[in-house]
Amino acid sequence: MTVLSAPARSPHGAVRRVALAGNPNSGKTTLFNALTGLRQKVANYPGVTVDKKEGSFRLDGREIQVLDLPGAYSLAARSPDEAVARDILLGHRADTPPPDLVLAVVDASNLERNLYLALQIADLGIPVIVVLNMMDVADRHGLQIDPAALSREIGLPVVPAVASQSRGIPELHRLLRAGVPPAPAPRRDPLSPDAEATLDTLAQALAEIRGLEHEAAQARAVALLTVEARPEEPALLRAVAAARSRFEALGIDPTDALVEARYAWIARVHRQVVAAEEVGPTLTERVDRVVTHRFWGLLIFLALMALVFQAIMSWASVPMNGIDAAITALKGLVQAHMPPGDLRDLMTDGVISGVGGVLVFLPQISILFLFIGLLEDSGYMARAAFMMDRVMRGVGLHGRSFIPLLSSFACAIPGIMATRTIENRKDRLVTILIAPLMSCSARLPVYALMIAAFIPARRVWGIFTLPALTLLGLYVLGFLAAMAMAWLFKRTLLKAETPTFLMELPPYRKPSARTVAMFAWLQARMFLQRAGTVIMAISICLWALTTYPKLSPSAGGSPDRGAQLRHSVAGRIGHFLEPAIRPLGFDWKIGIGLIGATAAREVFVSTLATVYSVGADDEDAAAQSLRSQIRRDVDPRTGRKVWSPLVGISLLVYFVLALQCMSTIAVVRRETNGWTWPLFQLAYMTALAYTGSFIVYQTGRFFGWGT
Amino acid sequence: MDERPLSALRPGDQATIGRLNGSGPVRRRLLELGLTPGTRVTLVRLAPLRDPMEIRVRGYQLCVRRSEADAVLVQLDPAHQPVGNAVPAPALAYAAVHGTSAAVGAIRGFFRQLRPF
Repeated sequence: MTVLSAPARSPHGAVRRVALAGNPNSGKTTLFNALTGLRQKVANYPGVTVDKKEGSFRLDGREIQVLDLPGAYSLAARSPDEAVARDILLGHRADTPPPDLVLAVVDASNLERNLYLALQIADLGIPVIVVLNMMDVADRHGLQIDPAALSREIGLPVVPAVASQSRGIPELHRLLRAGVPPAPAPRRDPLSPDAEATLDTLAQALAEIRGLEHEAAQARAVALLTVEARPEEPALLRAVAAARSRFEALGIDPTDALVEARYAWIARVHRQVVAAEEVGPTLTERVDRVVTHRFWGLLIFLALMALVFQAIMSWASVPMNGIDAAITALKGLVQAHMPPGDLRDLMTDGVISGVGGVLVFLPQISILFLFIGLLEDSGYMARAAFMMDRVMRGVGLHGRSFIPLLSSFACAIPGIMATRTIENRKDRLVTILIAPLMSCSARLPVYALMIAAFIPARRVWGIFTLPALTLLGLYVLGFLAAMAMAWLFKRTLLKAETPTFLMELPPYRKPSARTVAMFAWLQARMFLQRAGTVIMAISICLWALTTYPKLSPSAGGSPDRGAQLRHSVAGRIGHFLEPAIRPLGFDWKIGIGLIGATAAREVFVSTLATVYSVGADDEDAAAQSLRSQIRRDVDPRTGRKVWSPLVGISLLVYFVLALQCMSTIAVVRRETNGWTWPLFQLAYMTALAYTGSFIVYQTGRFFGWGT
Repeated sequence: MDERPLSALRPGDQATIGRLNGSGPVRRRLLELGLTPGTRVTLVRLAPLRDPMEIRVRGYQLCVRRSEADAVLVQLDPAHQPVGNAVPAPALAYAAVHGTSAAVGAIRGFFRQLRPF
């Protein structure tokens, strides 16, 4: 039973389920947090990657469910978020019944546009209470709003509020206690007489078919035309079609006309209810002059990005080391208390390493999301997208893609999760697909090893050193590859029109610590839950691959780890792969390293260390000796060196372009709701990496470099 | 009178929307965001790379790409008050007749002339 067909609600029924609706940036989520506190959870709407935010609070001993609908400008949906909001309010989602009433959160400093959605919801016949939020911002802008007058004009209860300071909540509770309010039909300016007559005919059909009263039927007719929902009843479908052709004959687009009529009426109400004082340019306006300035704006932006980047790399390292230490301690504990054998090894090297591998990302993810939350909540994010849009458009993307891509320089996982702000499905997919090409921090150990081993520390152009330039070059390569692939994808596979860029620049505001912290926490938790399971599974597999079959212990005791590795399935795969990777300059030892790196890139270094039987507890010492081992390693068959600067560079290029992170695969699987895209991503990036390495190595050989 | 696309405005210009060309979801969305015929808009600024544009309409700031702004036809407002006039009195009188956003726009226009963009 859909809401459009529900009989008129009896007023004063008890309120059980409430939904929060409103424009983005109206403070909806702040109100949600203020109402529910920690009694909330985030799930997923089945079938779409839209978050389902539910919570509850107690009123007079009764529990009231609260659903935070995705932000929307109109129920004529243009994004998955808006589609979900529309479907829930129309009662079209089987998993989420429509609410008893809607709290329409309206930004007081921006009343007209916000009222449009509120009245559109009222058109549906759902009881609405208008929460006139951000009264403090309106005040600062010199806007004096009379809530009582507003309530009189629009015929709906109005509660002034400042959700960020929890003001207005008691008043809201009082209203909710009084029960479900009546749902009057909202008003609008009249259309031309012919148009009104046509609308009336449709309303009459509605009144008959659904047993509605005249006024309610009129509102529902407006809703049908402006929300563009398809009614179920065939008779109604015919009536709508008839009305539309009548409008066409009149030369009127009914939806356009109704939108304009509604806004005309809203504008009049606005003039009567809002008095404006002269306040001069607002703080937002003055800050924006600098922040979006041709020169200063870009500089500030780069500085901010550098700060975020730096924070993720350096601030995260302390807790990351802490987590590492805890993992090691846990391993030690298990080692001490479990009997030696496969089960113990499975626990330490498989499960604990696997879980540890997930947990170790937590500081980076949390810090990144804290920053994203801060930038988003303060309103800066919109300015960043505004400035970067032109650049992104060059490859067919959207200004909003920039932040996720930039975050991916630290770690692709939070970057990929941050693509949720991109409305267009194809653009989001392209952004997700190219995100891992941005050299993430996990590649640094490999970069460091190769550069230290093979790039001479010479000075170039005065202040630059060759190693530093190489490092920069690697990052640039990743970036260029990403842009190229984006361009390619937008042209072929995920061909779509360049998306529209209608985006609001909200006034700056002091970010709410509670909102930001909750946001970061929820994202982190989701990552742990979903990615964790897949990562643990793959860790165990990899452990099995490197452990079995076992070498029979030699006379002297437990076998050399390197020998064991070479004997295992992974080792055999390495040997098996060798002919395939020879053209890239890699031998089977590197092959094993690459297999290990599939789990996580840093593992490459430790796997190599094991292969070369470099056993040391001190990582740095291990790296040192690994470096010298690599330089000295000679292929017994040919007598030539295994490694050379050319091989080093070839390997570096491979690492820039390849997808070697099961955590990423797990997150992409979650964000795209399936295995198609992560597997496609794995395939194309492996192909890209192979091609890149091949070109580099073979070209180098052609010119006589390398041994 | 002469209509021109929104994309042809320069920072600080104020205009009134005449009509929206084209068809389809973008046009519909522009209407739903309040860019209806007869609405006052101000071009606030251009992005550092000249695109997109930031406009002020119905009390909020909206970004539009030039390509999207092409479809919105507006009538440019005549030139603003000359420099040197006291601000409040003419602006408030203006507000009484034309409404809030126009007054704010006029005041901004005054400041704009004092401060080069």
